[in-house]
Amino acid sequence: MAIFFTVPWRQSALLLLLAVPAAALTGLLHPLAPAWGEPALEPGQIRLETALGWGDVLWLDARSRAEFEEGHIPGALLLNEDEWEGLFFDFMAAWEPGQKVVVYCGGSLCQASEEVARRLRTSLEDDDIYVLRGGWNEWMREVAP
Amino acid sequence: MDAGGGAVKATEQGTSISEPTGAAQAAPVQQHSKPALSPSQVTGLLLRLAIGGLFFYSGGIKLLDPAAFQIDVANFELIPWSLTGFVAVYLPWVEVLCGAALIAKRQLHGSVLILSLLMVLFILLVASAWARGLDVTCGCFGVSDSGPDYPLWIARNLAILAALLAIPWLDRKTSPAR
Repeated sequence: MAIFFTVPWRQSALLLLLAVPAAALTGLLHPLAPAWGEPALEPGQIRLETALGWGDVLWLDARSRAEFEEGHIPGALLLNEDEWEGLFFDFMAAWEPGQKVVVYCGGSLCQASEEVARRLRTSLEDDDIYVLRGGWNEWMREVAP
Repeated sequence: MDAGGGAVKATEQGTSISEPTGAAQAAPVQQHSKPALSPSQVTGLLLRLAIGGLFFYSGGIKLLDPAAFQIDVANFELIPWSLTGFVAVYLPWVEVLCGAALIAKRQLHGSVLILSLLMVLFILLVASAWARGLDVTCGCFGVSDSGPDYPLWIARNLAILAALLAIPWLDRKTSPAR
């Protein structure tokens, strides 16, 4: 390990410095460059603080049953595409027409909540169906202890 | 064949030999065979190329879509969104440059140091996400739809870290004393 304390600091600094202009050019010129400001909500998405402010919300967990059983938003119902036929009836029994519905999945990358929300909008012809931005991760960060 | 470029003359036994002439006379051809690589050298070379290639690929594939990698970074919920963009464009280049340095055997110890520290950081990040019950993709090789597999990611990163640390050790063992 002695070599780590003699030679490589200058070499490391050189490599790290070389990456700076390359990264700057990527950030400026890349067609898929990162978004520097927080991305705007997409149609049908809702922020957690807004949903919490509504009070009477029916939470729907669009993840797998195993993930749901590991932990979910208190009061949430499981409704995923894999078990749609059976779980949809549970949802219909719990939902009151006019009640706002917020669907969530794991995080920002998953598509399950978007898919479940799309199917619900088709089935119920209701506009008060939203997708939670950031999903379960956002809940864990903002609300869970 | 007249390897030495000289005239051929007959010997008493009837065979022929080369008689070096000109420049070849001053510098006779020596037919040394290169010594075969030792197992340590072969291991060191393969490890360096494999790990260098791995990081070069890993960084390169992230650079194809930095915006998607930014989401992976943000999902770890450890840095504010405003910083995730910098990480998403800087980290892949560090991986690419260090990977290329390993392959080319340039700045070898510097690249090993950076990549080793990165692997320690990745292990801590994955462990932290695991402990917090987050649903993240590791972001190791671009965007992945597969769910989290924290033990596998940690084991893989530990193996890469071990390989990285072995590279300078094998290099020192096989290089002539400096």
